[in-house]
Amino acid sequence: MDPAETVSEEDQQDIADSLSGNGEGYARLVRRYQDKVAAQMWRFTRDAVILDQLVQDVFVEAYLSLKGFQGRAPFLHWLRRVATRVGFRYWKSRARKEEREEALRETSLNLTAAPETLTPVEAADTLYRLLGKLPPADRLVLTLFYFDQCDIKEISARADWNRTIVKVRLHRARKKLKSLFEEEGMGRERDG
Amino acid sequence: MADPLKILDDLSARARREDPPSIDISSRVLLRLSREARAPAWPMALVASGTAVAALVVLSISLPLFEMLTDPWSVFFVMAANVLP
Repeated sequence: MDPAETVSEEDQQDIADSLSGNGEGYARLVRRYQDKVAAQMWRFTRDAVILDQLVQDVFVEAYLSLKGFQGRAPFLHWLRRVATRVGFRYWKSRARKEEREEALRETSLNLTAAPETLTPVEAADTLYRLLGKLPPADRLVLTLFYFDQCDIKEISARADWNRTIVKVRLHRARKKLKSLFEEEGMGRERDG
Repeated sequence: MADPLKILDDLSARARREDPPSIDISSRVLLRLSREARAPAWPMALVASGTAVAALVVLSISLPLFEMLTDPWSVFFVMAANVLP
Protein backbone atom coordinates (compact mmCIF):
# COMPACT_ATOMS: atom_id res chain seq x y z
CA MET A 1 0.00 0.00 0.00
CA ASP A 2 1.22 3.52 -0.81
CA PRO A 3 2.71 5.07 2.39
CA ALA A 4 0.90 8.31 1.53
CA GLU A 5 -2.36 6.39 1.84
CA THR A 6 -1.72 4.98 5.29
CA VAL A 7 -1.54 6.39 8.80
CA SER A 8 1.99 7.47 9.69
CA GLU A 9 3.68 5.78 12.63
CA GLU A 10 3.82 8.95 14.72
CA ASP A 11 0.10 9.54 14.12
CA GLN A 12 -0.66 5.95 15.08
CA GLN A 13 1.29 6.38 18.30
CA ASP A 14 -0.35 9.70 19.14
CA ILE A 15 -3.82 8.33 18.39
CA ALA A 16 -3.17 5.35 20.65
CA ASP A 17 -1.90 7.71 23.37
CA SER A 18 -4.97 9.94 22.97
CA LEU A 19 -7.33 6.97 23.22
CA SER A 20 -5.63 5.84 26.40
CA GLY A 21 -6.29 9.27 27.92
CA ASN A 22 -2.91 10.88 27.37
CA GLY A 23 -3.69 14.54 26.62
CA GLU A 24 -0.17 15.25 25.40
CA GLY A 25 -0.63 12.69 22.62
CA TYR A 26 -3.66 14.55 21.34
CA ALA A 27 -1.91 17.92 21.78
CA ARG A 28 0.81 16.66 19.44
CA LEU A 29 -1.81 15.72 16.83
CA VAL A 30 -3.43 19.15 17.17
CA ARG A 31 -0.10 20.96 16.78
CA ARG A 32 0.78 18.81 13.77
CA TYR A 33 -2.42 19.50 11.86
CA GLN A 34 -3.85 22.78 13.18
CA ASP A 35 -2.43 24.90 10.36
CA LYS A 36 -3.73 22.56 7.67
CA VAL A 37 -7.15 22.50 9.29
CA ALA A 38 -7.06 26.30 9.71
CA ALA A 39 -6.30 26.69 6.00
CA GLN A 40 -9.30 24.52 5.21
CA MET A 41 -11.60 26.33 7.64
CA TRP A 42 -10.52 29.67 6.20
CA ARG A 43 -12.80 28.76 3.28
CA PHE A 44 -15.74 28.69 5.69
CA THR A 45 -15.16 32.06 7.34
CA ARG A 46 -13.14 35.22 6.79
CA ASP A 47 -13.23 36.16 10.47
CA ALA A 48 -10.12 35.22 12.46
CA VAL A 49 -12.07 34.87 15.73
CA ILE A 50 -14.61 32.51 14.17
CA LEU A 51 -11.79 30.64 12.45
CA ASP A 52 -10.16 29.97 15.80
CA GLN A 53 -13.46 28.69 17.19
CA LEU A 54 -14.14 26.49 14.16
CA VAL A 55 -10.69 24.88 14.27
CA GLN A 56 -11.21 24.15 17.96
CA ASP A 57 -14.60 22.63 17.13
CA VAL A 58 -12.96 20.38 14.54
CA PHE A 59 -10.40 19.02 17.00
CA VAL A 60 -12.94 18.61 19.80
CA GLU A 61 -15.31 16.75 17.47
CA ALA A 62 -12.43 14.68 16.10
CA TYR A 63 -11.38 13.69 19.61
CA LEU A 64 -14.91 12.69 20.57
CA SER A 65 -15.18 10.41 17.53
CA LEU A 66 -11.56 9.24 17.52
CA LYS A 67 -12.63 5.72 18.46
CA GLY A 68 -14.39 5.55 15.10
CA PHE A 69 -11.19 6.28 13.17
CA GLN A 70 -10.40 3.02 11.41
CA GLY A 71 -6.95 3.95 10.14
CA ARG A 72 -7.59 2.92 6.53
CA ALA A 73 -6.49 6.35 5.26
CA PRO A 74 -4.15 9.04 6.63
CA PHE A 75 -5.35 10.84 9.73
CA LEU A 76 -5.45 14.16 7.85
CA HIS A 77 -7.99 12.76 5.34
CA TRP A 78 -10.27 11.80 8.19
CA LEU A 79 -9.69 15.16 9.87
CA ARG A 80 -10.66 16.96 6.66
CA ARG A 81 -13.98 15.11 6.66
CA VAL A 82 -14.64 16.22 10.22
CA ALA A 83 -13.62 19.77 9.24
CA THR A 84 -16.00 19.78 6.26
CA ARG A 85 -18.83 18.63 8.53
CA VAL A 86 -18.08 21.37 11.07
CA GLY A 87 -17.79 24.05 8.37
CA PHE A 88 -20.97 22.98 6.60
CA ARG A 89 -22.86 22.98 9.91
CA TYR A 90 -21.58 26.48 10.57
CA TRP A 91 -22.85 27.71 7.19
CA LYS A 92 -26.22 26.07 7.76
CA SER A 93 -26.58 27.67 11.19
CA ARG A 94 -25.72 31.05 9.70
CA ALA A 95 -28.25 30.53 6.93
CA ARG A 96 -30.87 29.63 9.51
CA LYS A 97 -30.20 32.86 11.36
CA GLU A 98 -30.71 34.67 8.07
CA GLU A 99 -27.31 36.26 8.33
CA ARG A 100 -26.73 35.20 4.77
CA GLU A 101 -29.63 37.36 3.65
CA GLU A 102 -28.31 40.28 5.71
CA ALA A 103 -24.93 39.88 4.08
CA LEU A 104 -26.66 39.93 0.72
CA ARG A 105 -28.24 43.26 1.47
CA GLU A 106 -25.04 44.74 2.81
CA THR A 107 -22.62 43.70 0.12
CA SER A 108 -22.61 44.16 -3.57
CA LEU A 109 -20.06 42.32 -5.57
CA ASN A 110 -17.94 44.00 -8.12
CA LEU A 111 -16.47 41.49 -10.48
CA THR A 112 -15.48 44.00 -13.11
CA ALA A 113 -11.82 43.56 -12.14
CA ALA A 114 -10.14 40.58 -13.77
CA PRO A 115 -9.23 37.95 -11.14
CA GLU A 116 -5.57 38.06 -12.15
CA THR A 117 -5.39 41.72 -11.16
CA LEU A 118 -6.62 40.98 -7.62
CA THR A 119 -4.33 40.14 -4.73
CA PRO A 120 -4.83 36.62 -3.33
CA VAL A 121 -6.60 38.12 -0.28
CA GLU A 122 -8.96 40.17 -2.48
CA ALA A 123 -9.63 37.14 -4.66
CA ALA A 124 -10.38 34.97 -1.59
CA ASP A 125 -12.69 37.67 -0.17
CA THR A 126 -14.53 38.04 -3.46
CA LEU A 127 -14.87 34.29 -3.86
CA TYR A 128 -16.16 33.96 -0.29
CA ARG A 129 -18.81 36.64 -0.80
CA LEU A 130 -19.75 35.36 -4.25
CA LEU A 131 -20.35 31.79 -3.07
CA GLY A 132 -22.01 33.16 0.08
CA LYS A 133 -24.92 34.19 -2.12
CA LEU A 134 -25.76 30.52 -2.67
CA PRO A 135 -27.43 28.05 -0.28
CA PRO A 136 -24.97 26.10 1.95
CA ALA A 137 -25.01 22.82 -0.02
CA ASP A 138 -24.32 24.59 -3.34
CA ARG A 139 -21.69 26.71 -1.69
CA LEU A 140 -19.98 23.66 -0.23
CA VAL A 141 -19.87 21.67 -3.46
CA LEU A 142 -18.46 24.63 -5.43
CA THR A 143 -15.93 25.46 -2.71
CA LEU A 144 -14.67 21.88 -2.61
CA PHE A 145 -14.59 21.53 -6.39
CA TYR A 146 -13.10 24.87 -7.41
CA PHE A 147 -11.30 26.20 -4.35
CA ASP A 148 -10.00 22.94 -2.86
CA GLN A 149 -9.76 21.21 -6.25
CA CYS A 150 -11.40 18.03 -4.99
CA ASP A 151 -12.73 15.50 -7.50
CA ILE A 152 -16.17 13.89 -7.19
CA LYS A 153 -14.81 11.00 -5.12
CA GLU A 154 -13.08 13.32 -2.67
CA ILE A 155 -16.14 15.60 -2.35
CA SER A 156 -18.24 12.52 -1.72
CA ALA A 157 -15.89 11.42 1.06
CA ARG A 158 -15.55 14.82 2.67
CA ALA A 159 -19.19 15.83 2.56
CA ASP A 160 -20.52 12.33 3.19
CA TRP A 161 -22.82 12.52 0.14
CA ASN A 162 -22.95 9.71 -2.41
CA ARG A 163 -21.34 10.42 -5.79
CA THR A 164 -24.61 10.77 -7.67
CA ILE A 165 -25.76 13.42 -5.22
CA VAL A 166 -22.43 15.23 -5.59
CA LYS A 167 -22.78 15.29 -9.38
CA VAL A 168 -26.37 16.53 -9.22
CA ARG A 169 -25.50 19.19 -6.64
CA LEU A 170 -22.52 20.35 -8.64
CA HIS A 171 -24.63 20.66 -11.77
CA ARG A 172 -27.36 22.58 -9.96
CA ALA A 173 -24.89 24.82 -8.14
CA ARG A 174 -23.23 25.79 -11.43
CA LYS A 175 -26.63 26.62 -12.90
CA LYS A 176 -27.51 28.75 -9.89
CA LEU A 177 -24.21 30.55 -10.12
CA LYS A 178 -24.83 31.34 -13.78
CA SER A 179 -28.30 32.66 -12.94
CA LEU A 180 -26.79 34.77 -10.18
CA PHE A 181 -24.35 36.29 -12.63
CA GLU A 182 -27.16 37.02 -15.08
CA GLU A 183 -29.41 38.54 -12.40
CA GLU A 184 -26.74 40.85 -11.11
CA GLY A 185 -25.11 41.51 -14.46
CA MET A 186 -21.79 40.47 -13.03
CA GLY A 187 -18.85 40.13 -15.39
CA ARG A 188 -20.67 42.09 -18.09
CA GLU A 189 -18.34 45.07 -17.99
CA ARG A 190 -15.33 42.82 -18.48
CA ASP A 191 -16.63 41.80 -21.89
CA GLY A 192 -17.31 45.27 -23.08
CA MET B 1 -21.30 38.07 -20.38
CA ALA B 2 -18.11 36.36 -19.22
CA ASP B 3 -18.31 32.68 -18.34
CA PRO B 4 -19.12 32.55 -14.59
CA LEU B 5 -17.34 29.22 -14.22
CA LYS B 6 -14.21 30.63 -15.79
CA ILE B 7 -14.36 33.58 -13.37
CA LEU B 8 -14.87 31.13 -10.51
CA ASP B 9 -11.90 29.08 -11.69
CA ASP B 10 -9.65 32.14 -11.99
CA LEU B 11 -10.72 33.53 -8.63
CA SER B 12 -10.10 30.16 -6.96
CA ALA B 13 -6.65 29.85 -8.48
CA ARG B 14 -5.79 33.33 -7.25
CA ALA B 15 -7.34 32.78 -3.81
CA ARG B 16 -5.38 29.58 -3.25
CA ARG B 17 -2.20 31.66 -3.09
CA GLU B 18 -3.43 33.41 0.04
CA ASP B 19 -1.59 32.58 3.26
CA PRO B 20 -4.21 31.56 5.81
CA PRO B 21 -3.84 32.84 9.39
CA SER B 22 -1.55 30.80 11.60
CA ILE B 23 -3.06 29.68 14.89
CA ASP B 24 -2.10 27.75 18.00
CA ILE B 25 -5.08 26.18 19.69
CA SER B 26 -3.72 22.96 21.23
CA SER B 27 -3.96 24.18 24.84
CA ARG B 28 -7.49 25.55 24.32
CA VAL B 29 -8.62 22.28 22.73
CA LEU B 30 -7.34 20.31 25.71
CA LEU B 31 -9.05 22.76 28.07
CA ARG B 32 -12.36 22.34 26.24
CA LEU B 33 -12.01 18.56 26.24
CA SER B 34 -11.33 18.51 29.97
CA ARG B 35 -14.42 20.69 30.52
CA GLU B 36 -16.53 18.43 28.33
CA ALA B 37 -15.27 15.39 30.21
CA ARG B 38 -16.58 16.95 33.42
CA ALA B 39 -19.76 18.23 31.81
CA PRO B 40 -21.90 15.05 31.68
CA ALA B 41 -22.37 15.07 35.49
CA TRP B 42 -24.43 18.27 35.26
CA PRO B 43 -27.30 17.16 33.01
CA MET B 44 -27.60 13.88 34.90
CA ALA B 45 -27.77 15.71 38.24
CA LEU B 46 -30.37 18.12 36.85
CA VAL B 47 -32.52 15.27 35.51
CA ALA B 48 -32.25 13.38 38.80
CA SER B 49 -33.17 16.39 40.95
CA GLY B 50 -36.01 17.31 38.56
CA THR B 51 -37.43 13.79 38.79
CA ALA B 52 -37.18 13.86 42.59
CA VAL B 53 -39.02 17.19 42.81
CA ALA B 54 -41.74 15.96 40.43
CA ALA B 55 -42.19 12.78 42.50
CA LEU B 56 -42.52 14.84 45.71
CA VAL B 57 -45.14 17.08 44.12
CA VAL B 58 -47.18 14.07 42.93
CA LEU B 59 -46.98 12.44 46.35
CA SER B 60 -47.90 15.63 48.21
CA ILE B 61 -51.07 15.91 46.09
CA SER B 62 -52.08 12.27 45.88
CA LEU B 63 -51.48 11.21 49.48
CA PRO B 64 -53.88 13.74 51.12
CA LEU B 65 -56.43 12.95 48.41
CA PHE B 66 -56.11 9.23 49.08
CA GLU B 67 -56.41 9.82 52.83
CA MET B 68 -59.46 12.00 52.34
CA LEU B 69 -61.21 9.39 50.22
CA THR B 70 -60.45 6.55 52.58
CA ASP B 71 -61.32 8.51 55.71
CA PRO B 72 -64.70 7.07 57.06
CA TRP B 73 -66.23 10.50 57.70
CA SER B 74 -65.29 11.62 54.25
CA VAL B 75 -66.89 8.52 52.77
CA PHE B 76 -70.02 9.15 54.85
CA PHE B 77 -70.35 12.74 53.69
CA VAL B 78 -69.71 11.79 50.09
CA MET B 79 -72.43 9.12 50.27
CA ALA B 80 -74.80 11.48 52.06
CA ALA B 81 -74.28 14.08 49.41
CA ASN B 82 -75.21 11.51 46.79
CA VAL B 83 -78.33 10.33 48.63
CA LEU B 84 -79.74 13.74 49.65
CA PRO B 85 -81.82 15.53 47.01
